[in-house]
Amino acid sequence: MYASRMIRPVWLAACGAAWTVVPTTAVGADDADVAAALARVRAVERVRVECIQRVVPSVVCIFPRGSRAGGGSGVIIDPQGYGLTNFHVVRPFAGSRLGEGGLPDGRRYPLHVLGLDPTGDVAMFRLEADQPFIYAPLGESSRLRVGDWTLAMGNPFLLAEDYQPTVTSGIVSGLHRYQKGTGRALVYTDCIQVDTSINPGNSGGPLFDLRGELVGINGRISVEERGRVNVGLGYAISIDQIRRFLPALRAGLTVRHGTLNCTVRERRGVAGEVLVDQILADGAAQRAGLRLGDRIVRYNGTPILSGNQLLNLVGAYPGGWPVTVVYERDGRQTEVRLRLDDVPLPEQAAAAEAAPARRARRNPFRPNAAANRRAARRALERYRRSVGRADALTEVVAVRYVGQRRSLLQPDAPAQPLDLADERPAAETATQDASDAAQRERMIRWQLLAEGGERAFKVVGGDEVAGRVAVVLEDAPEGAPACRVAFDDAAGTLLQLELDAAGPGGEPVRFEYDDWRRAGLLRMPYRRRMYAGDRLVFEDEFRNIRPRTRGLP
Amino acid sequence: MRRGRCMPLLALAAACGLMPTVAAGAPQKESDVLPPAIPNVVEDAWRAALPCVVKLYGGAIGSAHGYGTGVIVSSAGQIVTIDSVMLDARNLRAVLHDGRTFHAEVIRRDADRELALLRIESHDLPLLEPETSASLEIADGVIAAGNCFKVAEGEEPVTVMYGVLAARTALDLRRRAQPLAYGGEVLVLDAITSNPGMAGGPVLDLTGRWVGIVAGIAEAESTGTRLNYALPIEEVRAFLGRGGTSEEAAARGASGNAPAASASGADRGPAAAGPRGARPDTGLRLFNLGYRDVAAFVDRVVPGSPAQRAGIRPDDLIIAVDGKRVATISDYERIAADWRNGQTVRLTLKRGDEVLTVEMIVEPPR
Repeated sequence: MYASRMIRPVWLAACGAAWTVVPTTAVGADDADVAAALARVRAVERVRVECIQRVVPSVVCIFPRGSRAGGGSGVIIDPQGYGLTNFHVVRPFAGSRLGEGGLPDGRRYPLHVLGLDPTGDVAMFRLEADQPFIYAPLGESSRLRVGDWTLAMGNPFLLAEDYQPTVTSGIVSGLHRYQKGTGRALVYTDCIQVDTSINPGNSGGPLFDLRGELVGINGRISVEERGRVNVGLGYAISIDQIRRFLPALRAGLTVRHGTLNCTVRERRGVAGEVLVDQILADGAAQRAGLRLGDRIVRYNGTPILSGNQLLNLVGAYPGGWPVTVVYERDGRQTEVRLRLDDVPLPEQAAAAEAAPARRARRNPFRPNAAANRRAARRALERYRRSVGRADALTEVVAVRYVGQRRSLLQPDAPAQPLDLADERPAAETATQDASDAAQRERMIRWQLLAEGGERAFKVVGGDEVAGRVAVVLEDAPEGAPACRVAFDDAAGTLLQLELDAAGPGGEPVRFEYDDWRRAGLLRMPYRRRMYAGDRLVFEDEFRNIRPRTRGLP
Repeated sequence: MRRGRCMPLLALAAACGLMPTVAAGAPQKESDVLPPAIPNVVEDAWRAALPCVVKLYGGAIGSAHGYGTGVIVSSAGQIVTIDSVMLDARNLRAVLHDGRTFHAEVIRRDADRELALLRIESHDLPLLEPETSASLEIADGVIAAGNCFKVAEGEEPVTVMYGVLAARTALDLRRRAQPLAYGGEVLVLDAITSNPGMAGGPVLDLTGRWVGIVAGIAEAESTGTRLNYALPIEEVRAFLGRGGTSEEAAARGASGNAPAASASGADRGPAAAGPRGARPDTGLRLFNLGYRDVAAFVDRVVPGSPAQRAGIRPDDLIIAVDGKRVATISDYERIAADWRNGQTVRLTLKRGDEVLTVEMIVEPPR
């Protein structure tokens, strides 16, 4: 059954340019053609089977601890056991944050629930084991097209006694779907619609493309009249949306989705006219200058044609995310840049968060402090590793690099060569003296490099920096400006450093890094820009970045 | 011809591991023919049809869903869909693929095939030409599309599903307790198309040709299971007047209600003779709510049927059959289940204030 659904189109596809003539005019086909077609079928089938074999070990059957009742599915996304599932799968044990995950090796592993996304129906967990896990690489759901083949895996109807997932296949039926929250179902923004068979128990399981890349998390189906079983319409949360929340989910935070804090309406009968209908006082839209009746023309560069489309685009981003909006008023178009507000948590989650302090231990939505610290350490660890080998600590101490130092207080003064002697480990530097922003910046970088996991940085969530998803850490040392550090979530490279009130006029100072180059064992920022407030103060290049061999004077 | 056709089946069998030795003669190594990426045949076949599919919104009456799907068949705004009570709404709306919304009116219906022709005030529309389903064989891939569950709104593209043609056969179908008027051949699909709102959606083959139209939700008479099936496109062509061109269709539309029964007889094509032949059908359709056993009011009388010849009219109340009292629809159905072809039955009816008795000869459907 499964094979027959899959094979026929693939065979046609495999025939390449000639496939269109096959149904009626394959009269001239001789034995060689048949053999060649067979070989193509085999090749295509092998692609699919290999793809399935490769990713099956990453699929998790999730259960409450010590029980086989209820549960759902999940997928591991990195070798340390971090994985994704639905919020509604872990909700029954979100209080204890402990469950169990069964893998196709037949074993059950302790499962810790980390970050929660009650609005987007996503949760992150981590499986506990000594060995690294086989994981599924993240794909890009923006590359999907209607008609693409997809594979869903998981534990529908809890059939998998041995934790071998059920595999189903189908096509992408629609993209950028907006599914309203009804009853117990949560809102799904910008989700992927598939005719792949998704059933109860598939919740939280992966949706793969035929390259074996994770493109979504299955979580919802359309049901009516025929009970809670597959009727050919399944919905998966797109991985592009989830990726923006990953840093905060890893950190064990309860994440908030974004909102413009305004409602829109479509002008009836006129396609593509989306107007601001109501606007919340002091909300993101109002602060950005939008008024009632303004037409929203573009959002983050995408032309807006319907209300659903705008809801999709807004709801798929975290609160605090920077976006651009082009609106039209009196025939004039204006572009504004704003940060999204936080959308309120769903009622249940909000009630739990507002619970009195004595119930705090049972509150599943309390930011997980321990996980927070773990995530901070992890981000720093990764950053350190990105700078070289595992023993980067000792290597970094021996690095000499020649940059430039420039004082914010005297921007016109000639640049001074950057002296390694300035870059003492944090313990030796009196933080009170570090009033010079440039020096402070170096010090923090030094701390990151040399002191790594020791600083109690706090993970505050994710952000977009130069088009990349970044994990954001914060630290507020006594007597020194608070700082925020942003790392690329995937590569671990330093993207941005912000210092509060460190500019000459007490304005915040921001350093942005790009052009990462490998220099010996290290990957170092090649280019750096420094902003005081919004003003670019200077831009420079680190020309000579090279590690010093240990033992040199 | 035969040989060419057996290729996909061969491929299928091989893929299922049934014929592992056949490829011994394959001239190429598998790695030589490995596709760089598996192409998306559905998108290619579907792209041209997308602008011709409209979402319909009408009245949600009783258990009927207030939405459906239609296909534009003339550039002057004619739309074919599956007939249902939804179309009786005063404000029937058609939403085009680009989000434009039009008021639609029903210009013709075919009760036998459950097809309806709508018109919107527009022109220069992209249209889908009804082709033939003759070249479609069992296990060929098909694409079905439609407005199921109202998942897509405005300019959002409708749902697309992939499946294969599982069978071509006539089926004993019923909708709730009523047998379906249509007894001809249908395309049974291995794709879950039997969903609210999907009726009227096009079924395409993998070259993008329009080969069928997703029919209304119905259950198998014997098992009660829902079947995923479509009317072969020949029925649409016959409904539109064979050629299916806008001019002919417009001419028929303008001439008022063409007698549906006469159109359906000769133009049925290969589907005409179904196994339903032996089964009596009086052409009597009762007002069945489906979930409640109610008095046996006549909802509809199929033109040319035994019931029409007996003079039975809509809104008659059946109160007795052959002297036996009929209180509810289920009473009537219990009695009618024993009728045989050729048998004459006496129905006692209440029409307005009068009570009358008619004789009806039970016959197979024509």
